[in-house]
Amino acid sequence: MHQLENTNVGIESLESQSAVGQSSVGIPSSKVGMWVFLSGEVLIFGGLIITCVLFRLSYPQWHEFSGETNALTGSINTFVLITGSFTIVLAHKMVDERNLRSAYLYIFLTIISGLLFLAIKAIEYAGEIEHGYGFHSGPFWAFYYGLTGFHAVHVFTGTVINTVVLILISRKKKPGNPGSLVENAGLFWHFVDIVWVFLLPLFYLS
Amino acid sequence: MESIITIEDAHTEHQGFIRRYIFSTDHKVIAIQYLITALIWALTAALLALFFRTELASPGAILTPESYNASVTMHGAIMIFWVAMPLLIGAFANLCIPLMVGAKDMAFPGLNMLSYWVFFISSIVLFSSFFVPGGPAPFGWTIYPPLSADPRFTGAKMGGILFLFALILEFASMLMGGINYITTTINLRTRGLSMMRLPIIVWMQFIAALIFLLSVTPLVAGVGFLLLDVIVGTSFFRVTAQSQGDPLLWQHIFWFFGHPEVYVVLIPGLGIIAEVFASHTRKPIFGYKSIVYATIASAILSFVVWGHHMFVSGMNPSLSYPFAVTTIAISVPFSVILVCLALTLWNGSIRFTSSFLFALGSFVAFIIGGLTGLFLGAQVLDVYLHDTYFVIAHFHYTIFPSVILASFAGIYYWFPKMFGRKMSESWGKVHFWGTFIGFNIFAFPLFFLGIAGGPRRYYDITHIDYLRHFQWIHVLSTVGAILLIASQAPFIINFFVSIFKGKQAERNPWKATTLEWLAESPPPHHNWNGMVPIVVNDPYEYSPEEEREDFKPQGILISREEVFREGTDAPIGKH
Repeated sequence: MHQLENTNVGIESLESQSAVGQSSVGIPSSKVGMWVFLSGEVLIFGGLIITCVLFRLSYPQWHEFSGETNALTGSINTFVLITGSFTIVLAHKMVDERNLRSAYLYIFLTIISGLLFLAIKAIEYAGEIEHGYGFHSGPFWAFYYGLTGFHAVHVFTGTVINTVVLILISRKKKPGNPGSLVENAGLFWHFVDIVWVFLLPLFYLS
Repeated sequence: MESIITIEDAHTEHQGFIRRYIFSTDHKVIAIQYLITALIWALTAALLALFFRTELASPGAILTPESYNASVTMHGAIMIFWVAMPLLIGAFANLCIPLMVGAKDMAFPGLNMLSYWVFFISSIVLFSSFFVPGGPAPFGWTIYPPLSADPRFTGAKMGGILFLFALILEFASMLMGGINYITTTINLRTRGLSMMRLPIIVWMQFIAALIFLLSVTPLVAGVGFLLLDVIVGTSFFRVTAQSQGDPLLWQHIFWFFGHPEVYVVLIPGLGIIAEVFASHTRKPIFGYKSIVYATIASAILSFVVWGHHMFVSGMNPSLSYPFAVTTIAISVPFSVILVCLALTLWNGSIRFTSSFLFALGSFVAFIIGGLTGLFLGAQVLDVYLHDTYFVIAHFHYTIFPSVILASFAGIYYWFPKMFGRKMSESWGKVHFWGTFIGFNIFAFPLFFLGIAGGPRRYYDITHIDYLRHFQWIHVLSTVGAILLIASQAPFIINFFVSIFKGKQAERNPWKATTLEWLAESPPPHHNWNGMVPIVVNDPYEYSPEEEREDFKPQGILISREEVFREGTDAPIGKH
């Protein structure tokens, strides 16, 4: 069987489900589960994005609409999200170095980046609705609201996850390995980030 | 560390009724919850079938055209999403995977519990759709727009919305389950259990969970967008004055899921058949590796065949050639699996228990389903046979064996492990023959109705000249359906009586090799009573030459101290 150093094996209450108390492949179950979950998420957004691209190819007037979206706030939001990804990586590094205080700070900054993104997105939506573009204004706007809205739901979920992780690891009684928690939250956050990198050209630049 | 385990196990022994049987995180309890919910749904959907089959036999007798549409839709949708999935994926994966890989529970027991309760809520939402104004969804289980996207067409706005919501919840529930099955299979295998020593059913459940995860996710988004069409009035899937949606897009998204889905419910069924065949023929599975590789191949191919559902949909006709080729190609790996199963029977010393009869019946009936699939996979023939009763007959010959017959085989087989008692064999055989004969009388004549050009979905064929004299086929088919449904009575009685009054089962009533038979019947919470199962053999070592017994169990139970003492690679003391 596989050799395994148990020092870094995720949340113990989960690991102990294996009768011999070890992970068969040497990766914490929580991380395996997160990757499995993300592979499903990739297919959700993959399907949506492919559909969107197919629609864009069959609608020559698509670019007129994408000119109406605010590329400036879109770019600022990209910057905000990628900064958040950077800070969560730093948080994971700090947890590994047992520097919990800095880790709290970096997770907090990631939460702020998520909230900032949502705020800017809300302002953007408000402006577009004011210009009379709603869900009904043709396929571009339906896809725009559908996909960015679904993505915003993910940003919100990620922010909630980060908040929960921050509360969990800052409490005295630890539920398990904080490194594993932060790493998994970070995986989800990176995913949300990558999706946005696909949405930006699709709706703001095409 | 031994003391910690003892405290933990003692703690779980004293859980209250609610924590132990209702909101339980124990995979075996969750399996039974899934099983019973699915059986209740199966009965509901069977009654719906009884209604519309009676209707087809004597048109105008009991249903209006609207309620006919609704019962056909709900029968299909319930049987696939609320029976097949929770039976094969919910119940058997939950029961088998942790026990057969030698784990104490799933990787994420809490998520597992959540999975069942989300499924339960989806059941309630679906059930409530029967009682809203306009009735339940009538647009067919494939939910094709524009019929489904615009409530004006059917008048069932609320029913449709509830149906779509229930569907999303059901997918979410099965995805949570799937994450558990995949992670558990990858990560919680006990010592000595390499992937190539997994029992076939664990492989099958693992692959089915992967297929489901990767195919259903686009449809989750699709259903969400369809809901926007229905509620908000967007036009992703319908054409309005302002905006051009694409109804064909839904068919692509649906069948990108829909075809892999039939393998999601077929593959675990084949896994059950393999387990039952091996233990009842006292032979190793023929071609273990061939079965595993063939299943992986079919899983990959299953993602590129969906277009064969759309040969007459208006999809670009030149696309139909590649889809026809992949569809014919996917029959190759399945032929490999079926030949391996048939050769497992060869020269076996077969024990004809109810479980084996169901497995054999499933195997035989599925071959008919598989062979008629080739007709529909070739686009030239499909243009003629599409949307006829030939499709209905083919579909029932594939899904009924793989879901219902295989599940019955699995229920009779693992019942002693689930409840610690045995089911009555003689009633089991009555159940089998009634079910098998009833099913064939119901389904086989429909091939001929289809070849004669009998269109599916029609409420009444007696008004159509060329079909009028085929009405007897509908009558015969309905008689078969009534026999089939009536034959479930002995099962229901047998099932519930055996839970309380059946013969006590020993640990290993079938003298089978796989790990679950090392545990007590029923296994306690965390399965192994403080012991540890270690795998020492391949999964199907039946009739070994040198042994006194005719089987070598796959593993042995050893105490925790032994694991700690013996293994340099067992970090168990760290806990």
